[in-house]
Amino acid sequence: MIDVVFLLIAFFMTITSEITEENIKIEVPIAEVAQVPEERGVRQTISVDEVGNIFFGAQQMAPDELTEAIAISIGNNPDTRVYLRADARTPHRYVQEVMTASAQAGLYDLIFATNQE
Amino acid sequence: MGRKRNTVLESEDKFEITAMIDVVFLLLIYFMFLPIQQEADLGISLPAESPPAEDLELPSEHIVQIMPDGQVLLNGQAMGGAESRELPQLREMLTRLKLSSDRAGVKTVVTIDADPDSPHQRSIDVLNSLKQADVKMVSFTTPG
Repeated sequence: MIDVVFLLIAFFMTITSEITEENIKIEVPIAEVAQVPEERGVRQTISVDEVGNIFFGAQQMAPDELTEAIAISIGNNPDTRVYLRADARTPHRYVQEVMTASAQAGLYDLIFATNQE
Repeated sequence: MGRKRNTVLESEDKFEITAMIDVVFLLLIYFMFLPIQQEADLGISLPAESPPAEDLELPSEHIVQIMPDGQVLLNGQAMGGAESRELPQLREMLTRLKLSSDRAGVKTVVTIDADPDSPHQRSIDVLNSLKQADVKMVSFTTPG
């Protein structure tokens, strides 16, 4: 019975981490000179997958809803920065959509997610 | 009667290790699959939509174009093939341009004009080279 309980715990732990934003299936591009930051600050993660689906946090969103959502984030905390996790194979137009939306919302500080290797 | 009680006591004394090993292996597998690689940053500041100051110094501006096939051009000159991720030619050229601008006391501004169909990795490759060349002012063009 303990076995089964642990199995269930492990299962649900995996499932929960699966649906958080860091685990939306994205292979971020590689940049050798990028640095892992010591101070992460306040970040709003926006993910763009290979085919151009945009996720605000873990929630999927249309590009035209994005401006408003980012504006709300800045309203809550003016120091918010956009952390853009776009897949390496994502066509640039979807990245452009996110950049345009954040510029329209008045947020000009953007971070691209990359891996060093 | 007495014999039956003895067997019950015996089975309670025995320590069940099989289940524990099971659990430990399960946890081991779970933590093995947790992502361990930490993502790194490549920060840029988008230009603000504000009117420029009156006494603005004209910066030395360069345009990096990214073609749909991944070809990279600096001010219209081909800088690197679509196959390799490294852009040594672009890096060297930008380092030289940056040095000469620095000597003249002028800021170096690079505008990235990426084709909507170019892969995101290519933009990051260019940003990577810009960082290596110590270029800090970067902007992206928008459609329309």
